[in-house]
Amino acid sequence: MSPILEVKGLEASYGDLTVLRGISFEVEQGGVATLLGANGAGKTTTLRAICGMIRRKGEITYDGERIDRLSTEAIVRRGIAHVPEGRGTFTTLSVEENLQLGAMTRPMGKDISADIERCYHFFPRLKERRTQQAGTLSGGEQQMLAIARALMLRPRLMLLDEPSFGLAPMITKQIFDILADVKKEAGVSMLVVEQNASLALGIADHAYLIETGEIVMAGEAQTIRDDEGVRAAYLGY
Amino acid sequence: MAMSDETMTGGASGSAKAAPVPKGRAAAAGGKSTLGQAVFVILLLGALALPFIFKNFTIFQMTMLMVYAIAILGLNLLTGINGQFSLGHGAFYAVGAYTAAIMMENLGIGYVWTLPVAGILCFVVGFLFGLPALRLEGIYLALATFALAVATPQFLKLTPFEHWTGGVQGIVIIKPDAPFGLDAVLNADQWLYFFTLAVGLFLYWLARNLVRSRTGRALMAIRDNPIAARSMGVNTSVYKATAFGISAMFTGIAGCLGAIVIQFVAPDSFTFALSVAILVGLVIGGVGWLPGALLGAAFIVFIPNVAEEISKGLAGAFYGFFLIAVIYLAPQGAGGLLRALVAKLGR
Amino acid sequence: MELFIQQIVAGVATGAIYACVALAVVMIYQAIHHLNFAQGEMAMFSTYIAWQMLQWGLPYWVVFPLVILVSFVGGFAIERIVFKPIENAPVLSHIVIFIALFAIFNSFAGFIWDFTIKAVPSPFGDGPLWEGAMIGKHQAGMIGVTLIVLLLLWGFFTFTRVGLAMRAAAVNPESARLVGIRVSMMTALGWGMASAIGAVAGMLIAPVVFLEPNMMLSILLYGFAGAVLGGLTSPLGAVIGGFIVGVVENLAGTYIPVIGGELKLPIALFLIVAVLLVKPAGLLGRRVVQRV
Repeated sequence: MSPILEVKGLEASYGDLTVLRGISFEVEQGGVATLLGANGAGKTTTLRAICGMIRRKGEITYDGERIDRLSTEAIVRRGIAHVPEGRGTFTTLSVEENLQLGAMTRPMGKDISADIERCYHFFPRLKERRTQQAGTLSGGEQQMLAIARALMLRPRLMLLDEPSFGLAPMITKQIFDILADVKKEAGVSMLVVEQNASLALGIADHAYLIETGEIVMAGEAQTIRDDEGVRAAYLGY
Repeated sequence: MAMSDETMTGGASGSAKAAPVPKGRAAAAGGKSTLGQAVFVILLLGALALPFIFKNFTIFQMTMLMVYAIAILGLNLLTGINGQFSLGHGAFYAVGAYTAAIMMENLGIGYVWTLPVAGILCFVVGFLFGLPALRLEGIYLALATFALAVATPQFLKLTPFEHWTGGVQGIVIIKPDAPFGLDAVLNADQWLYFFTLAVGLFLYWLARNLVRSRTGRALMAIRDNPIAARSMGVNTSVYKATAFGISAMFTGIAGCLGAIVIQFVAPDSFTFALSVAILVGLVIGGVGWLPGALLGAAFIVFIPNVAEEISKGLAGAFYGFFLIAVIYLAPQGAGGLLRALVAKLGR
Repeated sequence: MELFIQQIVAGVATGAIYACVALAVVMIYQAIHHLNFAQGEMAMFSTYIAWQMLQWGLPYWVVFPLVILVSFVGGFAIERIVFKPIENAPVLSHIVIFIALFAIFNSFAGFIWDFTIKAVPSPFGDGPLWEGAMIGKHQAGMIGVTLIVLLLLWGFFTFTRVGLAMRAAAVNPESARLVGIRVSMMTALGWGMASAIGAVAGMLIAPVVFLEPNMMLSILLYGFAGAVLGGLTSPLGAVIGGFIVGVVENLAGTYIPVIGGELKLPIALFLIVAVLLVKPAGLLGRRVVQRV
């Protein structure tokens, strides 16, 4: 089966500063790939480039179609949901409104309320807080909301940017457990960017190591996990 | 880069929201650079010869051009150097103008003395307005100064001040003659022209030195990165209010001169349109580039006439379309265009 | 006491206009985080279009919705043509463009319809609302229409998808794009709605102040004052703020001898500066946190 996302020679820069120097990787249908790397390696930029939020060069093929010239809105309409760094919730809107916004590109109908219920099933905490302003939620709850909002799109591919950022280890584990469930139940493919390598390798099938804008290692998650160098540099044991 | 030695240095970040400040913005052409010096000398010679070549109306127009240039220079000190801006500088211009009128006609004081008084008074008024204004940023500052501009004519009409201001009627000023027996050589228009030129040159010199001083650098630091400036021990509130005061002082002196030249002040001369004209002059001349004030002033003195030539009824519309074109095509104003040109030639 | 109540009623009536203008101001502010200094001139131009249609003999209640529609399209088009290209430009560039629009509308209105003042009829009729009432028919109509506009806006933003999308785009444009909202379209919609609301305000006030190209400048200032007082992020706040400004203006004009009937603009200046200093978020607005 062909990969759902195929990136070839992706380049991006902010002004004079080149951040991505032609990276290539892919995400398999129904699979989870992870981009690992230190701060400033270009992980977030990669996700933003895929979504068309910054200028980019190179080939990005999603589901057999080139999307590297499309606008962000058009890319989202094709079923790619991006959970941005820092969660990007609509802070002054209610939790439920945030979820409704996730389904903005879908036709109106009953199945949207059904999906909201499904999100509440994954994240019962959100149900308790459905009328609350998103900005008043805790960090972990906001991350849950961001993921739930992404699910409302009924995406075929989810891009997750540092889902563990700033969260207590217990909450992080909870969130990754849910991601594993989502992968199993909904068959959503994922591209996860993480600094916490051991967490990401826990759910990933494939992993790519990125350093200063270049992929320096790629392979099965298991192989990467066992690699001596990676272990020393990223896993810390 | 012929002008690089004159370029104001400053981080490219931080200021983006406050004012359109180009990379490598130049404060003042002329001075050390030979090209700037040559241009300055030619302009000065031309300015000295002008009153003996042209008729009185042209002399009057050129005098007003210099008056507006001083007003724009004042606003440029605020916007270009300190990153604040104002839609209400017409108010300070009005304070200066009324100071001149009241001192000369009600108190019988010589016109020369009105300048320092207007300057000091406007500094105080500007400083006081600047104190609250420094808590306002971006559009809030625009809003407060817009309100100031729109309310100014009504302030001037208020009955308690009518005894001094002449209410709606305003005050007529008698044009001063040239002193020291110069009136044999120069008529009143010519004399006022030279007087304004001298004041303008002095103020320009002052502005340039201010930009290069410690204070100037502190003001630019505040523009570029207010928080960093604060953490480096710059007292931003005092500096920002001072910048407002100095800016108002320049514009107030311009108003003072303008009143003497026009020989009349009345509330409806100081409407929102005047504040707009000063701001437009600033943008046309180039934000952050002091000599741009002359180009900006030339624009606000002559372009309305040109627009009126093209179509009497639609002068305002032409004016508006021209402004839009400037923002699209030359967002750094004439100053930006000139710098680009010089950079190209220097290569 | 009678005078006092009468002044309050009159203040509420003029406040309705300020409330309408303030609503338009808030709409634009939500869309682009700028204050449209040409808002008043746009409203004035819409009102002239209404006057022209009435001159052609169209009935008022045909003209009213038609002008709202035309103004909506006009506002939408202005955003697309003039502001889209400079959406990332600094504040000062925006202000200059607002001023340019100000000059253009003012000049065109004077050119097409000349500068003589024109009377615009009230759709609600003249005279008091009932025999001996303190409030006139037109004043009551102004208040009613303003409240209806507010109600419609509230419904639009609360119950419709587009309304929700516009709110989302205002709160967090980047995330809005990530859920597939075309943010720049929302901005243009905001412009269209602001322009339409401004047209309503212009048509309501024209019977009171007479129509002429400079009629809106001071009204816009009061509208700004109302919007700031109520909170630039809150449509309800803007309406309340507008009413308060109307009442304060009327009372100050009556009871503070220095100000008198004609010279009430300094009050608006004072209100704006005071609110911005004491409570920048306004009565109902949210504090906008500026990131560095």
